[in-house]
Order: sequence, then structure tokens, then C-alpha cells
Amino acid sequence: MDHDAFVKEALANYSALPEETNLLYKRHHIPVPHLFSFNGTKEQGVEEYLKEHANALGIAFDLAVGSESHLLSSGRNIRVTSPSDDTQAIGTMMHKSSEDKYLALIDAHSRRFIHIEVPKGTSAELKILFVNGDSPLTSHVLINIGEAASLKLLELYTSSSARRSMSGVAHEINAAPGSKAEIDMLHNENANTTVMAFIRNRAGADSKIDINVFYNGGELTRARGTVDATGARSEVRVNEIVFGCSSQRFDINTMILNSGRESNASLESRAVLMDSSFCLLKGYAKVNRGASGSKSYVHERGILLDRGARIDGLPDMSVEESAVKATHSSATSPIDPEAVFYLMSKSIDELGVRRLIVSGFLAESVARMHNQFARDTSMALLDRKLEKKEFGLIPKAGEASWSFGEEGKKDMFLGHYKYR
Amino acid sequence: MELELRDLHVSIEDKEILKGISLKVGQGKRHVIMGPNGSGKSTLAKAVMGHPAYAVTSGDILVDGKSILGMKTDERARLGLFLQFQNPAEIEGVGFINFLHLAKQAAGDTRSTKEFMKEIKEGIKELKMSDEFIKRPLNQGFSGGEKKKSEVLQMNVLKPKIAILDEPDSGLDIDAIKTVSESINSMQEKEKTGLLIITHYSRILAYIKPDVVHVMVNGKIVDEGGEVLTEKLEKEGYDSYISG
Repeated sequence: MDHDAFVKEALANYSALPEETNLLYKRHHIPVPHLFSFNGTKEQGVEEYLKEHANALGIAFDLAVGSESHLLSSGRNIRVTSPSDDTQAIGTMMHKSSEDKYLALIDAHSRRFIHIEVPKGTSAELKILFVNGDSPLTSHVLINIGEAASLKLLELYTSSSARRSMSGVAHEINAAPGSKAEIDMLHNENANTTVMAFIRNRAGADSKIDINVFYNGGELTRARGTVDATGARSEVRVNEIVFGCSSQRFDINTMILNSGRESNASLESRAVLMDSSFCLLKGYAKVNRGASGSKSYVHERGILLDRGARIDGLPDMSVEESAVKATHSSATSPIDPEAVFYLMSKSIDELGVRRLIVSGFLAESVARMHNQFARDTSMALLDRKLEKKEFGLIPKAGEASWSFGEEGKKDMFLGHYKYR
Repeated sequence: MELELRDLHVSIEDKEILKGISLKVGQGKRHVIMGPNGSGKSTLAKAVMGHPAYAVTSGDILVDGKSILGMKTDERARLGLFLQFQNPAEIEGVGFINFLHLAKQAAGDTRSTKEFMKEIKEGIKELKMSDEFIKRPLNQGFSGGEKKKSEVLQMNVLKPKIAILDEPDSGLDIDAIKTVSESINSMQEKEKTGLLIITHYSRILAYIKPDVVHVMVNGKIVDEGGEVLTEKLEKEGYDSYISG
């Protein structure tokens, strides 16, 4: 198969991850409707718009990534390399063709490899901005966290181009024994962008990985994750938030695995959809043989704000070890008219009521992000979408009308988000 | 402010529940509606606040002589109407204090947050509630008594001109009825709020003395009178109205 034919097949057809054998999942998927050209040329002024985006957000990014270029502000813990040539890329792609073709595509066409290294016993806090331009943004993030080291990583995704484009980023995380990682990802690409997100990991004994993802942007989001509590007593927690409007579509397939004994793996997905948006939540839990004494938990919940919106929750589970605790559940309902009436009867207008209910429903998930900027930005994105049906634009610093209290600082709104 | 129901007919899914209710509630007045189960008392309360499932088929609801039928629920509330719910909805993740702060702002109350919090704390003390209460999500996991007290606390903070209290005594023990009643009395006297209290029993009326008592049976007001009417109902029940 030649390169073009492979690209076409990868984008047009569904190809399961190796672990994704569930027939239900194979049947329920959203194909990527567009072909993308990977032969982009360097855009003019890309450094300027990366700087503009970073400045508008009011925080310093360690790395700002565009489709064709990047700006590295700090060399600590992070470096960027480029694949040598297309021949190697195609070779990689073909090598992985038995796996997920989209992932192989991103691997093969990665403009860059972003290496994050946290040496043994140290800690790092990093922020990366991804801005897709006219041509597809394709990056591979390789994270290595040393023994007893810790990483807090924030990734913000947005778009600069009005043309049809793609934002594809694959993550591979390797957490050594006793390490900790929290990765917060906010996806706010524009309505012309197809989002392809991948994640997979290894978690050493006694390590802990928290992955919080907020899917707010994009025309279509296709996310695939295989998150493994690999080592003994390791813990992996995936927290997914989906907020859709207009005709946005989300195909989210996350698999959590318990491989280590007495390990913990959990997936909590919460989706709120408006208008005619659509979301597939496919949370799959697998407890491998040998993972005795482990715990597995998949929980999917959704609220539909409008009649045209739809959420298909398809949780599933496969348990190959007997002495484990494992649960999975899914529940979706329209917004409760009695709750709306109740809140409106206390003077709050319809928009305020929707904001209260949506924020209340998602607040617990948003609060799991320990990064103040991530929490506030998430709430700003929620506000903007509820009020103006807008997404894809970056919020300005301090735009959120909702805010969480500063962590660890006591105030009267402690434990709750507050309205300014 | 005066709330007037003029020959009000209300249906739910084509079934007529209210069959021509007329009454007026002015500020500072205490009205009580008593009646057996299923007589339409709660329907009346929700219809006044504009619940979308309750269709006004004829008649009118007026505030100071102007129809409010075209107004949304929140607009009616901002006029100064308040409904204390019999079974308030549980709202996941929405903190009580945040909700009430937003409601206060929406109602046009410009008092400072400091004053707001001071009032909340005083209200909690008056209603003999735990301080932890305000940190919890709105109505989630509240006991029956806590829900009632939460509604009364909201009313005390929002200071409505006319308040409809739908069974403020149900789910309360004897001591709590007294506590809640004293709080309602205190607010009503201070703010000159008009009260329309819906109840099955006369026990709360031992503490909140009514100016007018309306008896409602099968969607109609079948009798009206003063406090003495409650004594009659306590002795004889509603049988004479139902059979007659």
C-alpha cells in the first residue's frame, strides 16, 4: 500500500486498537470525514501568533507548539526533536499499521517529538500550548517520570486557522515506581478542527497518574486511550469532561487496565450536550489475570440540555481475575424540568439556571484539576459556550464569571465554585 | 403589592385541576388555604409561579392589577413572589450558599457579600441549623426538616413581598414547627410580607395566626372565614365539604 492510499484508509475507516475487540465499540464509532494534506509548508508569522496566544492567556508557557513551528521558552525538563525524514516516517507508519491507523498516521507524520524528562526524586511543573494552524498539527509527547519524581503538566489546545485542519497529539507516559503525575488537558480547538487525541502509559509500582481531560472544542473529537495501572499498588485515574454544542461530535474511547496486583484504575466521564451535538462514551475496564486485590471503576454520566442532543454511553468490562472489586455504570438524562423551575422560582433566569446546573454537574470533575489556571479556564470555556455557543477562541485571563477558591486558602465559599 | 387570582382555571395534560379560584393576598396579610389531599392546593402554588406543565385555561393571575400570565417564572419571582416548595428539587453540585448568593443578586439585592453572609449566619442560628448546612449541595441529602428550614432561610434572605408556603409544617417535629413559625413571623412582621400558607393541618396556625382562611376542595374555594374556621376544621374535618 502506498502512502496516499494508507492515509485515505486510515481516515476513512475504523481500525480498532489491539485491545479494543468489543464488537459494540467497533459498530459505534464516528469516522473521520475529511482527508488532510500532510505536506504543509512553514506558515508565515507562526511565532507571532503563538506569542499572542500565550500573552492573551496571561501565563507563561514552557512550550508553544504550532502546526509547523514551535517556541521553547525553557529548556528544563523539556526538549523537542524532529523526525529525520519522510522515509523514516512512512516506515514507522507501516510498522504500526496493525494498530490504530489514526495513531500510526500521527506517529508517522509527527512534526516533532516532545520529550519530557523528570529525573529521579525531582519535581517539575510544565505548561504547553498547542495551536493548530492551516496544516495538521501532529505531535508525539513522550513523558518519562523518574523514580519518586513528580510532574504536573498542563496542556491547552486551541486553533489559529479558519481553514479545515487537524489537531493530533499522541501521549506516551512512563511513570517509574513511586512517581506521581497529573496531566490536565483542555481541548478548545475551533469548529473546523478534527481533534485526534491518544494516550497510553506504563505505571510503575506505587506510582500514581491522574489524567484530566476537558473536551470543549473541535468539529469532531476522536480520543483513544489505554491507561494501565501496570505496577503493584499503582493508581491511574482518568477524568473526562465533554461539553458540546451545535453539531459537535465526540467519539471517546478510553480503556482502563488493571495489570498490577492491588492496583487501582478508574474512569469517570461526564458529558453535557446542547443543540444537536453527539457523544459516544465508550469506557472499557479490563482487569488482567494476576491483578488480584485490585479495584476498577467506570462511571459515565450525561445531561442533555436540548432535545436534539444525544449521548450514547457504552461502558463495558472484562474481568480475568477473581479477587477484585469492579463496577461500571452509565446514566444520561435530559435536564430536570423541576430543577429548572425550582431555581427560576428563586429569581434566577434561564441562562443562569443552565449555568448553575451545568457547572454543578461538572464542578466535581473540574475540581479534580489541581491547577488553578486549568480550573478557571475550564469554567470560562463553559461560560462562553453556554452564553454565546462559542468555542475555539481562547479565553482572556480572568474571563470566567465562575471561579474556584484558591487552593488551600479558606474562604466562605470553600468547597464550592463561586459566582463573582 | 397585591396578588390576585381571578376565576383561575388550571389544567395539567387536559385534566382540569383548578376550577375557578378567586382570591386576593395583600402585603402584610396572612392567608391560609386548607383542604384535603388532591384538592389542588399545590397546583395553585405552582400555577402562580408559572410552572410550564400547568396551563392556565381561563381566568387570570394579577400583581397590582396587571396580568403576569405572560411572564416567566424568574420574572414573577423578581416581582416579589416567592414559593416555598413542599418537595424542593435536589441540585447536584450546586452549593447552597452559591445558589442563594446568585438568587439574591438576580433579585436585585445589592447588599454586600459581607452583609449577606452575616444574614445567613443569623438565619441559621434562628432556625437552629448546623453551620455545616451551608457548605452542602442544594437540597442534596437534606432531611425533610432541613429542606423546610432551607426554604425558610431562603425566604428570609430574599425578602419577598408575597410568599406562598406549600406545607411549611410537613416533615417537622413539634419543636421545629415552633422554630420555623417564629422565623416566618419575624420576617413577615419586619418586611410586611403577604403570606399564602397551604396546609392540611391547623397545628402551624397555633403559631402563625391567619387573617383569612380559605377551604379548598376539588379545585374550588368552598368556604372562607377567620381563624375560627380552623377550629371547626380541626373538629369536623373536610367531610361536610366533600359530601356536601
